[in-house]
Amino acid sequence: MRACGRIERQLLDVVRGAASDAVRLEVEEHLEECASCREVRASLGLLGALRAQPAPRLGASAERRIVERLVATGGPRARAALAPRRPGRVMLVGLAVAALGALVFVAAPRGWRRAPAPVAEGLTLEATQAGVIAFEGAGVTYGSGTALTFHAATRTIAMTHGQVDVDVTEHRARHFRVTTPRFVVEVLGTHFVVTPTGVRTLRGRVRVLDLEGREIAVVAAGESWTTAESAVAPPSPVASPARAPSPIAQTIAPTMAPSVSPPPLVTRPSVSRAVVAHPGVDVAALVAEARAALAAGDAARARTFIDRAVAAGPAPSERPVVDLLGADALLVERRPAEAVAAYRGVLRRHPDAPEAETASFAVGQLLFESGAQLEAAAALDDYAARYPHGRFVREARDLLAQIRPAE
Amino acid sequence: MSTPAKAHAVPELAADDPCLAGCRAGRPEAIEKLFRTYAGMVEGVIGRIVGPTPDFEDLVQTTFAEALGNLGRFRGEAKISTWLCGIAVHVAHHHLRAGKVRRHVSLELVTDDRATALPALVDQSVADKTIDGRRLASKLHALCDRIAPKKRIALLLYVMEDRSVEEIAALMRATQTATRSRMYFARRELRKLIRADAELRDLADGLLGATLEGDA
Repeated sequence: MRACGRIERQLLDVVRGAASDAVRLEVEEHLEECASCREVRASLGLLGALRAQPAPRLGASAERRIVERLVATGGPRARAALAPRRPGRVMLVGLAVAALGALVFVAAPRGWRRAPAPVAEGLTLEATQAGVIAFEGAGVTYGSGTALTFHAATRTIAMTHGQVDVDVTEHRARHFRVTTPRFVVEVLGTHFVVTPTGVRTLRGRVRVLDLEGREIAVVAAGESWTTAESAVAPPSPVASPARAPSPIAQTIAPTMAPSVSPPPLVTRPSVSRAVVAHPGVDVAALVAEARAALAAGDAARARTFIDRAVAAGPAPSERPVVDLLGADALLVERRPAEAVAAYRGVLRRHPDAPEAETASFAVGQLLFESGAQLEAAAALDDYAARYPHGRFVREARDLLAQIRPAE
Repeated sequence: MSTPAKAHAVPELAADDPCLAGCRAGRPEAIEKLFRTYAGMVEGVIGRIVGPTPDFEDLVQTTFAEALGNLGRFRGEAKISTWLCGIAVHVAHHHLRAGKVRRHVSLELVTDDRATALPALVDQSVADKTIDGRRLASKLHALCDRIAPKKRIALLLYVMEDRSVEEIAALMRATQTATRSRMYFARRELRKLIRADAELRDLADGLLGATLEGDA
């Protein structure tokens, strides 16, 4: 047994390739006789096989992003800005108190708890700050300055100003509706964002009606629809949704069902099919603004300009760069899976545009950085085949060499 | 127990390198130099310990952010690489303790058109090897998730990063006895887990057979 203990320790060095010949010989002799140590050897051999894999590395763009963030936050101050905060003792005590409170709430007799009051018919909300409210089976996130009137009987929200992000979680006989002074949005699916000038569907489908109830458009997931005037009028800035409800929302706070998670007000990749083109809007200027915002790391601001450029109906020659910027924005927002899909969309829609080259390499690089080596190799091979003298060929070959070191 | 040669030599800055003073002053070129010098080492340590994770970039960034924030307290008694490695181990440990490791990178990044694109674009033997390697790595790291972080880190640093027990003890601020004990229990737990997994058991048996034949 003593021999087994020593052999097991020596096995680790054998796996690391650090054992002397004498040790290796002793170990192998022992293994021939000892089934138990052979089993240990087998399990450690798996770690040895894992060790033979190339060490994980970030791609060049990920490293560049890190350097930029470290530099932007000022070196020694980077820790406060970039390192995740850890719960201090005070916070842990606070969490414990909150947990206790929740326990008391759950364990309390039913009579102690007040049932959530429904939103009163005709309730008008003029929000001074962003917030979330549950209404008729939907989570409604509204921005600062939004004016809404709730009609529970018709399951309708009338909006005159601002922006709402609606996530319908319950399907009922009556369709959920959001009305604006110009059009009506009827929900066929689940998640969408409405402004007075347009609607963007994030999940499912919505139907856009005119005020007489005639269908204007059906907007599917990833698409957006705008009215003619939308691109002319500058979009009003929308504040990010605060977790704390507004003073108005607080009066109806019990209706905020805990099961309805606050839907984000962030935008998603929108393959817009703007119904009306808007001559006069300088798409090139919007693209330049979006690019500058992305360079500054402000994806939300970039998204605003990209959306305006899309709504303006860019010329066919401008379309690839707008789509590429949309994908770049997703990357800056650190949504790599969606960015990969968006870059692939650029490739699919504009295979002959110069932007396709960037998109093609970006797909390979992102897949590599995510650890999807097989798919990354396919994408990078594809890039190298399409653009044998391309701008990123050297980097693509470097990545491929990391994926296939034996070649 | 012999001390093995390091798997990869780490370029080293001297403790009085002007780059460090530049980092303390927040100079961009100095910060970039520090990062470029040690990025490979930090990425290797974190990647080996944590395994494939979408938080990889965050963890590397956090390591350097912590390092820059604490650079004023670096007295030059250890090599910068050792000091940074200690921070990387700490960051990885914190990540594992927080239970975020379950978020392994999956095939979620791959869209539907991938399936049709692959056969024509990737040599099949390379594809098979890559799949085997990824599959093995993914399964082993999933098993490692079930081993306590301190034990797991000690074993992986020893086997994968070629660190000595003395180094691991210093990096984890533990005694050598505790480190050896952690490695022992990690090995034992890993063996149990592999024994319970039919696919890994077969793979391990196959590897053992190949090793013995090769040795003969």
